[in-house]
Amino acid sequence: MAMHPRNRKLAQRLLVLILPAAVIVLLFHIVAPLVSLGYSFTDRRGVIPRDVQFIGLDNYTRFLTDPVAQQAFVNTVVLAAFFVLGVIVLGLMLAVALNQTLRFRGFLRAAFFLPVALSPLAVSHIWRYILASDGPLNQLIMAMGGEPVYWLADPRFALWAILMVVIWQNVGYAMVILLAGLQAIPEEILEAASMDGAMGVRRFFAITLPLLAPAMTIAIVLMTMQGLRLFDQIVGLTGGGPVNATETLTTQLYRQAFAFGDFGFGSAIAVLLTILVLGVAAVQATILRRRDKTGH
Amino acid sequence: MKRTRKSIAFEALMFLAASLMLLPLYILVVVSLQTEGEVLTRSLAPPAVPQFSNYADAWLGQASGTLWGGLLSSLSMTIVSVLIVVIVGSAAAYAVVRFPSPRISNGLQAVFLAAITMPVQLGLVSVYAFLNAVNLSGSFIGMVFIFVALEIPLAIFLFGGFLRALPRDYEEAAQVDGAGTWTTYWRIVFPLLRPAAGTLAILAALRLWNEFFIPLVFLNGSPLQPVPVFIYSMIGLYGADWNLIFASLIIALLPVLAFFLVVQKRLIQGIASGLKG
Repeated sequence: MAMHPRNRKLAQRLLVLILPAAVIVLLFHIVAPLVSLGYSFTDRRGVIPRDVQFIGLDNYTRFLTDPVAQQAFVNTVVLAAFFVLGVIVLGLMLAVALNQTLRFRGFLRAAFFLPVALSPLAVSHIWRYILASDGPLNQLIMAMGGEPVYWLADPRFALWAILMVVIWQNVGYAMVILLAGLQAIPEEILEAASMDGAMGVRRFFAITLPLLAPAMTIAIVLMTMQGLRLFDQIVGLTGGGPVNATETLTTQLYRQAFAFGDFGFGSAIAVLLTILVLGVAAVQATILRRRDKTGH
Repeated sequence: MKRTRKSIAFEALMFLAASLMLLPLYILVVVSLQTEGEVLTRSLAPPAVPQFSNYADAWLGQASGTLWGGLLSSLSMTIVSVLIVVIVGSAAAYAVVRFPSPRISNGLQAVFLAAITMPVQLGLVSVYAFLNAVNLSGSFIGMVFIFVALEIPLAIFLFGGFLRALPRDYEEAAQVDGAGTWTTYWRIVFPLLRPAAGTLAILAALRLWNEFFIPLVFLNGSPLQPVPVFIYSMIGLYGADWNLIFASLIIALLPVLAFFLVVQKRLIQGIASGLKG
């Protein structure tokens, strides 16, 4: 690499500024995951390793044959998919609505965004009260003539209850991103479309939505990252139960690696989670980039 | 846009939607002021006589030491981490963006960008083993190191974007005057980075304050446990005394709520302008 001697001097001095950050990121985001990957091929247990044996892919086969692990994988994907769907659709509706309002937009925007800033654990406590078998939601249902639902205690409903809570908490985030995208669309384009006869709903789907694509992309990618890693609300609402009905890869990972101390198995779960996240990110990158290029 | 009756009705509808959205928070406040009897009835009506004593009980009661300790812990860990991230991150971003070799510059930026998408949990297992081995596992320094590592990639991303758009005139003028690299950066460039630093500080502070998984691994049960871990430990502490639980929650949430009300406009604008970058 040929570099002008003056540039080399500059490079050396700049390197000093980069070094602390680079070392930290290198250690934490590259070396540490690689070491953990190494653990996943061993039977390492506990903090002080005793007699650690290399066991190849045993942890992975154990994961693939463990019914709880399989449930966790399914839950992770289902939760993430519906989370993104819910948050984007509702966020878009709110963004469109807020784009129309005039006087109190700032206040309303803050109001819808507020839950995003709260601790998910605190939010979980509140919702445990709301979703309790004798809580306000069931009282409303009973007042309308229905039967109370065991939102958090029934394995059939627990995952959907969690979904409701995480969507509630995060819809404001998607809304803010999409609202910014909407406000970036120049007024003139919309007016020109109106004058050409495209009104209301038709204008929305033909003009607005395609122009919203970049913001949509960002929102979808961010929400997917979050959806695949949901942890706090699950622990706060059900702890992974009832009967493992709401276990996900992240909760399983925590339980195996840190609660049970099985670093080997826990690392294997973490590796699988990482593969899932990176895989989905790669798929999204190609799909969305291709769409941006063709403009559809 | 004309203020027609239709638009007034629409804004009213939006207010209704916002109220529904914030209903859980209304419940939080109302129940925190109820008596034990009222809690049992599960009524959502404002209490006849607000029991402000619930707050005193929550503050001074069973979990008193840990509530106060939790707030202090969160505050110190968050502030120290954010300060380090802003200083180290901005310097690194400057050096990366201004690096004389474009290939290395772009390569480094890509590495830092990739670090943003990596899930933290994978590396955490070996970090946990390592920190235990050097006896730093439950320590303040250990947590700060991890917190800083979590936010540096985002810092480089935000500062980098900002710096790429920054005209180099000021730096060139300073270098003509004989300023060295460090002086140029610290005296000229860093003060110009204040908007980006503000956005980053707010985003990082919010995320780190509410971080649960990592403190749960390292500080569960420790006197250093931050607010989210404290809240988690409250499950089962007050049993079905929802009024006391919610009073504790409100005290625990107050700092973040106050912070949010002050920075929300700035934060939302920061997210919006980050989109354009």
